[in-house]
Amino acid sequence: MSETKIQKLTLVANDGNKIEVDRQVAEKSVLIKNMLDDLGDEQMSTEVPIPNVNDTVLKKVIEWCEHHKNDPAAPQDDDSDSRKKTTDIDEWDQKFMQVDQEMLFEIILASNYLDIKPLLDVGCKTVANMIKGKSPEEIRKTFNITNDFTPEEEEQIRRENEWAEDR
Amino acid sequence: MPPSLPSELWLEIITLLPRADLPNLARVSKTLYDLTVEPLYQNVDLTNQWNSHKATESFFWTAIKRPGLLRLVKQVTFQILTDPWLDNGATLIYHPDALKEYRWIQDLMITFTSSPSQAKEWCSALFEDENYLPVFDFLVCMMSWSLESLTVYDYGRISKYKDHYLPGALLRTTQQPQSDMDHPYPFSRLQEVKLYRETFKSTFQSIDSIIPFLELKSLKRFVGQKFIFNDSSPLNNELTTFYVESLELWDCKLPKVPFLQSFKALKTFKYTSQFEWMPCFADIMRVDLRIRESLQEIVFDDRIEECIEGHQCPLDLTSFKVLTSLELSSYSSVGSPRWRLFEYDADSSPIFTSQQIQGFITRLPRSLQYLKITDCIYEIIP
Repeated sequence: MSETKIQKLTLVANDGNKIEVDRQVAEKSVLIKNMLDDLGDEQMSTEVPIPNVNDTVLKKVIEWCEHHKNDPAAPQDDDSDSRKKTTDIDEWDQKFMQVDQEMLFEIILASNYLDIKPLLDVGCKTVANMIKGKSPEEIRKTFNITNDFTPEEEEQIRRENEWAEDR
Repeated sequence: MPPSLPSELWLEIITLLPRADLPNLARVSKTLYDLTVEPLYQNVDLTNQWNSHKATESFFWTAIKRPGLLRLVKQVTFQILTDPWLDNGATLIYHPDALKEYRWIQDLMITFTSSPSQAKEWCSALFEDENYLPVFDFLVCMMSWSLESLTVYDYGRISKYKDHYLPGALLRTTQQPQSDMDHPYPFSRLQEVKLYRETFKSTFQSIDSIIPFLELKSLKRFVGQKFIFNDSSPLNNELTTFYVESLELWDCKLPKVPFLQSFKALKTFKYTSQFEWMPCFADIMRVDLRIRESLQEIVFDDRIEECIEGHQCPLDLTSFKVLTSLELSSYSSVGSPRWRLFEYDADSSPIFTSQQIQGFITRLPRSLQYLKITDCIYEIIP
């Protein structure tokens, strides 16, 4: 039985840098929250290694968690259909996501690893909004993707999906 | 190395995109093509487009050149296209080299027809003028291994055509012995069929014409608009069995004899009429007694203005022994409100009397858990 709950945690990024955060903020990550719940406070070292995330990205993720620490927890099994196709993002999050493409992917990967569903959603919505209305070439440029189709193959694909185009 | 996203996260992103963006995404790279193609073909909507005609024409090309893609389709929505001047099927232009594919199409059509000569006839019709209907039938058959839901708008236009191969194709597949249930056969997954006709057309189509759909064992939900039930229809025959669990009829004409006997698995019956001159809630009392005892949900919206003379209001619904959910309009359920002609004072609008309400409540089945009364212009509770 522990009388005093741990209030502060130190997250250790993969490059060794340590960042101190409030427990409430760190618990936005379901991965960390479950770890705390499973181990119990006594066995829990206050240093939590985050081996998959580097210092810069981790700071960015914590910045998001700080801002959203008082958000109500999302319903557990929300109807995935109701979420679909709504790519509205709140203003603060939009500003937060104004980073280069590399950083955007890093944030998405980190939020996926740390299991921070609302941040992952914002990240995916941001990517979706960046795809909307763009030509294949523009999408490649935006996300640094190499075209591995021959021109003939690409034309064949354009033709076979022409029925779905909205023009 | 620049970071890249794993497939499951790309799939998440793809679900957030409008369909119109998917064709472009599919052209970006081989990896993205592989991820996009399934979501893109899962739900094919050839209506609501910049041009329904052009979309169907393009899809026809895809069906011939990339037939495998049609086996990904689970839901499809068509709009029947006619020639604007002639009322014949519209002409969908095909790519000239499609004719090279004639052989395999004809071979495949044999699966869906009663004779090689009919297959040949159907195949030729695909590449002739006014080919819309043979093409529609061809597309539905091409998707039939994976198709779960079929929606057709302006279905009424089909009755005018002579070359309609789909009903025959359906009949053939339902009559074939199904030895291997693990492998899908044509139409084995079709669970939902929705056939809408033009709302303002005054003609009705005989519901008998869509019996081939109803005979599918897989079919769970049928929605039909502007159909007429003949008194002597096989649908009112006890010897026929349909497996539909949910039957939804819009603006249909119900028979004057006991009906729905053949719908032995029926759980939900919805009836919506847009015509004020068709009071029909009393028709529910002609639902076959055995079917009444298995119905769990009824929605009846006949939008009548007041109780018609001779219409016994409220109806005794106690014979619907397992009914849990009931939705109906206020006039159909309780009757006309009282004093509506004499009270002009704004504070005392017409009301239903407690006697009327009481009469309605005591005649409800005991199993009822959900009751919704619609079209309440006047207060229900006195």
